[in-house]
Amino acid sequence: MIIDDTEWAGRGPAGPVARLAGRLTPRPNPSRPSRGQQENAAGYLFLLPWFAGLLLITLIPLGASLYLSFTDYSILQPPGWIGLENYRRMFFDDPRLLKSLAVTVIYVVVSVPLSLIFALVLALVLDSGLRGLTFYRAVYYLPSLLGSSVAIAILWRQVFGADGLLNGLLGVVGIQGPAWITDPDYSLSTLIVLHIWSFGSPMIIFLAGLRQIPTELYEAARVDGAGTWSRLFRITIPLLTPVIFFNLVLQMIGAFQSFTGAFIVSGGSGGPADSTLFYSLYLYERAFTNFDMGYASAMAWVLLLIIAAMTGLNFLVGRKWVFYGDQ
Amino acid sequence: MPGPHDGGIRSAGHGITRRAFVAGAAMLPVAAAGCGNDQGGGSPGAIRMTWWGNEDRAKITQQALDLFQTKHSDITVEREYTGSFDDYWDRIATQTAGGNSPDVIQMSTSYIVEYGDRGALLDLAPHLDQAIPTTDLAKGSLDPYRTGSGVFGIPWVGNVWTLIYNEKVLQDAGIDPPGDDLQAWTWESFEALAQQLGDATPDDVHGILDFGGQSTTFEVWVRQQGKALFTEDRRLGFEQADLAAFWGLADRMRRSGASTPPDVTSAAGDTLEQNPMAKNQTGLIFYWSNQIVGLTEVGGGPEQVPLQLIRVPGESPTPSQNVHASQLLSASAKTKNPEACATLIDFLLNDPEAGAILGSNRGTPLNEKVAESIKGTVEPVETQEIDFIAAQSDTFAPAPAPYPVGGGEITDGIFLRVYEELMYGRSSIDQAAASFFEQAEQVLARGGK
Repeated sequence: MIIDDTEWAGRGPAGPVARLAGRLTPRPNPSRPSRGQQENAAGYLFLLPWFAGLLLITLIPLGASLYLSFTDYSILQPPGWIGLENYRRMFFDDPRLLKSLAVTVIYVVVSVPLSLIFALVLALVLDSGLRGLTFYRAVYYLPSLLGSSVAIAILWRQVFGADGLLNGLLGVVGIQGPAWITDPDYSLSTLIVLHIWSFGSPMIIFLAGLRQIPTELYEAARVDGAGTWSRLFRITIPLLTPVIFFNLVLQMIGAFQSFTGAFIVSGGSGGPADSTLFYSLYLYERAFTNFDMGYASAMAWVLLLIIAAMTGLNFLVGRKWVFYGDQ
Repeated sequence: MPGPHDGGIRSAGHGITRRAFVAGAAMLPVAAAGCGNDQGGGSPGAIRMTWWGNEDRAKITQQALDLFQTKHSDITVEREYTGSFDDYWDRIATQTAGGNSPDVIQMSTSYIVEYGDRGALLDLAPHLDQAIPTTDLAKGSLDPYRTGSGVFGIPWVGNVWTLIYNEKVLQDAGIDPPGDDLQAWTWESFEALAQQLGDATPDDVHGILDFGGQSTTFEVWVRQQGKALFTEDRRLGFEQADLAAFWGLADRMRRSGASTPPDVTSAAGDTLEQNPMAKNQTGLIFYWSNQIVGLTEVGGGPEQVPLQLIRVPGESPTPSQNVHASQLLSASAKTKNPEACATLIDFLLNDPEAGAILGSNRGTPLNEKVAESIKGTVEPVETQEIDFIAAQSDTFAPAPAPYPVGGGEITDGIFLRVYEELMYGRSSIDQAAASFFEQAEQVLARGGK
């Protein structure tokens, strides 16, 4: 009979009988792994594919990109070390980079709040016990699945082109619409609208957040005579702030990296006149059109720092307005 | 929860561990097979060719490659093509970076130095006059491409940057096309003609597609003054005043309605389908002479869109137009099958049957025998191009040297972008000229990065 000796050895009645018992019972064999260690090994083995992916697809390329950001790398020839020259050039010698930052920041600052407001409003409407809620939820979620795809961006180009659908509709009412896509004053707005159109995924998260608000609070408020708006602003919104915060942070991080829409709608150029030159689009152009991969790597790391700083700021400011129910 | 004392779980735990290991080990070769590059198609004698161009060009190129495959049954050619010139170069850069470059590449003078100097292209010198005879190539066409480090591309077809006019638009406006007298066809008379066209046509039709963003039209302007876009020591070969004068003309014509408004110009892009000339919405356009073929086809044929070629204005006393090697054939330095590449290049360059299929969609074949032989078999609009070049060649200038490293970015990127700022009223002419110089000199100084 094999006893698990690790736990029982040394326990039990003291004295010579015990010592004899101890000598007769099998000792733990150090060369054979214990049960705990075996389970750990199984865990690590399951972890291995994921970790291999993390290493090969994320960590190693990350390190390579950091190294490349200090080099002059034209893709076709091996990289040569140039120290901080790329970074210096970025901030002091490249007006287009600053333009692309400006365009991206405007895009983020305008499209993210609008998108969240839209999502919240729709979530509130859908949560008010509408019939056919499942259907509406699916329909409103659909655009966010397709929103960042190439196909939708191409469609966007058609709809907002000079002879596109929107101008056709405006023409019916007698309005001569501008050439939305090819006019530098309006081209960014079409991309903002594209982002807002994909409000479905924050909306679903808001819906889930709304479900978590205890209904007793509403009943108590109704008993106290609170009206709809009061209930909205005193109960719903404050209790939703963690969800709003979550959506805000994620949406901002995503919007800073936006690429597909701008690439397709502008035909790859960030035009006209650099009005849709998102930061990541400019990065792509420097890397693949101008054979300037070292500089593009530096741009990528600066983007990382910007997003990290902005997220940190969000968390700092968030302490003021986010209300976690257990505080 | 069962603990380690429970014999059942323990033995199951043992089993899971072993099973997990076996499952994991089985996954590894599958995962490894999923990655890795796809070089040259996999089997020997299979090569990949790539080109830029629209669907019509793709159709005839596929036909020619099918013919090649029947003639050389041991070589298969996989095909890739890209519609837009700019997207094509993005793709080539990405593929070359990934070690996945196609074997035979349709090459441009704007980029041959970039790729050749950086070691991405195969030196074709050992194959010249053996696998690839060049005796029938137009005299002097290969010389600019014999560099010290090798021959990285062989000029395939030629064209001329010239003026195309739309007979239908001119007839409807009641305006006669310019005559053959080179001395009378000046920039002033050109501006007057475009202005007349702009005035006499309905609102959505214009005199000329705005040419301010076309660096090749500017090159014509500059060469007519005895200067050049780039000098041999990789600097700009002209002054800010030259650029300001050119943009002054383009700006004036745009404001007066002779040229297309900014949104039409931007929408035209670099694909034929969006070009207003194909829709009979402009009377004139500066373009490559071979595009007369593409534009006519996209527009639905010569009855719908009747086009004619004429010289650019201002060619007297100093001509600037030249037969430009519009496309060259190059091979990747990393190709696994250089002999097959050489055979394909020879076929495309020298075989009259290939010439008959490809016609002059890309330009006039620089192989003079092929050019002569196809005249009877191609569409009339293609013969138009061949005849135009033949008739005008006495008064053409020699071709300029291929652009230095960074040249492509300057002519296709910076020039257009700075003009767009001007076009949309965000910059004055002098500011734009200064901005162009600043950016272009930066690119040239960095060795074209």
